Parts: sequence; C-alpha cells; structure tokens
Amino acid sequence: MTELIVDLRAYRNNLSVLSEAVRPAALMAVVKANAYGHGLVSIAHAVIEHVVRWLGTVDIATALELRGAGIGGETSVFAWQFGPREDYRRAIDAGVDLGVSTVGQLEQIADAGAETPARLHLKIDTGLHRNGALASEWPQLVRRALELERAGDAVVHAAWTHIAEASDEEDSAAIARFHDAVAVAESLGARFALLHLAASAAGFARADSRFDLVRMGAFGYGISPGGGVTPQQLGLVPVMTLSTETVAGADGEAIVPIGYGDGISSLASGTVDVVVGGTPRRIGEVGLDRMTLQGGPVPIGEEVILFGTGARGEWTLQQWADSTGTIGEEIVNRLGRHIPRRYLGE
Amino acid sequence: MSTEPRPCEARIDCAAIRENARILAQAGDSAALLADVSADGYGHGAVRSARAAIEGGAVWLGVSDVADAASLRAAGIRAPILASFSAAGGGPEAAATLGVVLRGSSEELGSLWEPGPALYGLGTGYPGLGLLPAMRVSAPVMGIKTIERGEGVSYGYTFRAAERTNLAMVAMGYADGLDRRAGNTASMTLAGKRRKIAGRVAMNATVLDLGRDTVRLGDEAVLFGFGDEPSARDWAEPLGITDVEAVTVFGRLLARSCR
Repeated sequence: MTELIVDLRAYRNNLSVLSEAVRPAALMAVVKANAYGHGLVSIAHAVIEHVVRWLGTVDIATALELRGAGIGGETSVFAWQFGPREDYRRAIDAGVDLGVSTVGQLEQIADAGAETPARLHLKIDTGLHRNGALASEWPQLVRRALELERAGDAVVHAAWTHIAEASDEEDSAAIARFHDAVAVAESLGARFALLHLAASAAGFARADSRFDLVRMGAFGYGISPGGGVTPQQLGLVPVMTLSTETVAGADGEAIVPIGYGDGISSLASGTVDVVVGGTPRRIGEVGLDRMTLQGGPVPIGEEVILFGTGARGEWTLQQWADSTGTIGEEIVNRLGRHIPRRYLGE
Repeated sequence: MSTEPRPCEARIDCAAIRENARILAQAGDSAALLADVSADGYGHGAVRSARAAIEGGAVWLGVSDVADAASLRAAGIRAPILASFSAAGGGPEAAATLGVVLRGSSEELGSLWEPGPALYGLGTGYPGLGLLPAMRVSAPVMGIKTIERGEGVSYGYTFRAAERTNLAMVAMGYADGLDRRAGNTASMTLAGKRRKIAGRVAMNATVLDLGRDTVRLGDEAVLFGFGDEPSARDWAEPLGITDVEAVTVFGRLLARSCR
C-alpha cells in the first residue's frame, strides 16, 4: 500500500545539527502546512522531546490545534498570518504569540477581550513586500503597540522580519533595514526581548542574520535549498520516504497505484526515476490514480520507492525537484492528507 | 468573531455535477453512465459527487480500489461500483463482500458509458455538450501595500516594480496547490479585473499586482470558477498542466464548501 514514512530520528538529527549551527541563537521549528506534509502533531512532539522551545505555524487555527494536542505553555507557539476577522481572543488565551503587521490588527487585539495580555512580535517589512509594516508605517505600529502594553493589553516581546534571499547584497541591505527599524522602535521606548529575521538558508549560512532566534522549516525536514547543495553537505538527513506497491490491474498487468490525484506532479512524467524491487525505472506517464513505468512490465506486489534518503538507490527530493523544475517543499506539500503516514522512532 | 482556518477554499457545485450527469446520461444513449469518483471525485468529494451523479442519472460508480468503494458503502451509497484495481482494502473477497466489481473480472456488466472527468465539466472530450464547471477556487486578501519603482517582491525579487504600484497579498501558496510556476505568469480575478501574480509563489502566500487600483482586506481573489469567471482550463493551460490535474490537486488540499 501507499505510505509516507516519516523518520523522526532523522528530524531530531537535523534539529541537533541546526541547533549547533545557529548557536547561541535559539531555534524555532516551523510546522506550518501540516509540518510540510509530515504530520503536525507527531512532528511537534518530536520537537518538544528535543527541547526546541519554539514552534511556528503561520495561522492561528494551527496554533490552537497544537495547544489542543497537549503542546503546553513551556513551548512558545508563533502565528503571523491573520484573516480580517480573526479570533484573537482564543489565540491570546491559549498563549499564542502573535506576529503583528498592522495597526488594524493591534486594534482587533485590543478589542479582543482576552483574559491575559497578548504577546506581540512586531513585523517590519525589510523588502519582501508580503506582510510587515513598511518603514513609513513602522513608528505608528510601534507607538500603538506600546500604548497597548501600557494599558495592560499586550507585551511587546519581539521585532522580526523575513528576507528575500535574492543575493548576499540584498540580504545585507535587508538586515541593515532591520537594525534601523529596531533602533527607531527603541527610540520610541520599545524594549524587545527577542529579535528574529532568518529562515533556513540564511540562518544556516550567515551569522549576522541569526539574532536571537532562527526559524527553520525546510532544513528541519532535510530539504536543501537547491542550486546543487545536497542535504548531506549540510549534515541533514531527508525525513520523508514515499513508497507504494504494485497491484493487479484489469488485465492482470501490474499498476503503480499513485498519481496526480495523490499529489505527484505530472511533470515527473518521463523525467523522474523510481526504484522498483531495487532497480531504477523511469516514470512513463503520471495519471490520476496511477503511473506507468518505462522499460516493460513489473511484477505484482513489488515495492516501489518514489523518493527518500537515497539509501536504497531511490532519488532524493532534491533530485525530483531539480528534474521537475521546482523545490522539495512544493513536492512534499502537494501530497494529500489521505496518504497514510507511518512514523519511525516515535 | 470566527476563526478562519485556512481561508482559501474550493467551492463545490453539486447541482453542476448533477446536471452534467443528466447531460452525459442522455448523450450516452442506451449505455449505462458510470460516474468516475476516483481520487475523491477528482477532488470534489467522492460521496457528494456520487450522490449528485446518481440523482442526475448515473447508474454505476467508478473508483480506484476497494478501499475507495468501502468509504462509499460506509456513507450509505448502494449503487453498483466498479473498481480499477485490487489494492489497499482488499482483493476479490473484500470486493465481493461490498458488492464491488473488479475491472477485468468475468462478470457481465452490459454496456457502460465512461466519460471520466467530464462529470465535473473537465477535460477536452465533449466540448459541444455544455457541461458545467463544478469547482471554484478563491483566496481572500490578507494584506495591502504600496511599493515604489524598482522595489522587489517575494523570494529572490523575481518581480521588480516598473513604477509605484499597489499590491495585495492573498492567503494561498503552493502548500494549497497553487503551482509555483504561476509566479509572474498566472493571474487571479480581484475587484473585477485580472491581476498578475507578482514574484514567486510562496508556501502560504502570493502577491498580486494591482497597479493603481485598490482593494480591501477580505476581498476575494478568484483563480477559476463558475459562469463568467475564468475556467479551470484558463488557469491550467499557461502552467502546462491539464484542468483535470489542477482541479484535483486543489480539491484534495483545500478546505471545501458547497455552493
């Protein structure tokens, strides 16, 4: 049967490597999008056992799901993308840290009627131009947050941003803009306990990007940044293996029962190898619920490894991504939740 | 106040599936219509699609394997089911218990008419029949800002503003099934106009270039949909994939609601 094998030992190994690499900064394990398809709660518990004290989720609903699954207050849970009518009260009362970009969000937080003060991470836009306050909006955001702090509605805990990784020069410019924004906020009276800017690639590569906390998503799962750099070169181990088993089709011929309806991109047609019974075979065509293989029939009941660590000759996500013109993150995120996950090293 | 889990969504129109089944059943002459609900009904939901198709005149249901058939039976669907292969959920014995026929078995099925994804208004097989689209994909605006000439957007700054321009960030990214190749290529309909994606599609967010126009938080950007809205084919073709694949992937990843 088709299954997605998630090796939590590999995930813990990667966290150790990354913790070491970013020291003395702390590590936030990013578990958004069902932990990049690896399974939110299992990955979150692996993080906690590993004594990483920060989880990043994107949205409030996922943060609340973690709290509901027993992730207690000793672990900080961080959400930063909010809808126009968000339930801030539940988030604040569940002790979810909020990454705030606009004064409008601050007003909603002030009006939420929560029991406890909201812990805020104020976001400055240093050039990525998604969320975050522009430099022109930043003083107003900081002033309003400090008013909330004085009123007992909030604690201004952190300043943060997100960089584009367009080039070293561009990243240096973004880091400089971050320093400027922090200085502006401090001149207005803010005292940040934490500063954070970097995600996987920059956090690994650049000491000046790390500040107090580095947000690691892809690297934790052993997904490398591409451009020829393999996970192994970074000391990381791919966490996910996708496998299935050939089954009998209508005319008794073997079928590989996985297709684009399961999240395998049709771009893998004719470009990607899988391992069938220990031998590499090129994918022929990816269909809705099955794929053909080049090079003639295969036996029924044979194991098919689509991708994994490479230990048994199978391609890594890196190889899939390079051959289909994407990144490993997109491949794992497209795999549907209906595929059973099996955890090793729980 | 309500929590908005992942506020991008796929809206399913069961009436369209029912109508398509009616059209296809008529077009199939005397052959019995088989409604293909494999891959969770091509992302539309296998159970709701099966019910709508049966109401429209489908006789048979088609699935990948016996496990799929078991979930239809568990939902109370009694129509005859044809499974493509024996796999997870069992082989011939399990199939027999569920009253499921395996393709290639010796059972006499009569004349079957299998138009596949046409049930969902997808594919290129039956252009003249007036089949209706059954899925609409949209995402709300979560952020608005103005950038100056020369400033970049999203990872790698693959978009640079040619002049001062307004941007809308929508809460949908490649983790929701939005193809990364759509960056700087595809458009969404927002506030009455087509708006091109500016820069790379990120995992949970995508930015649209509005030019001088403005929108409000919560406004809805539509990738493809019903009626006058762009079709799934309009969306998929520039990305080099079929509408069938685009729709199925979105349907399996997004929260779904019914029209």
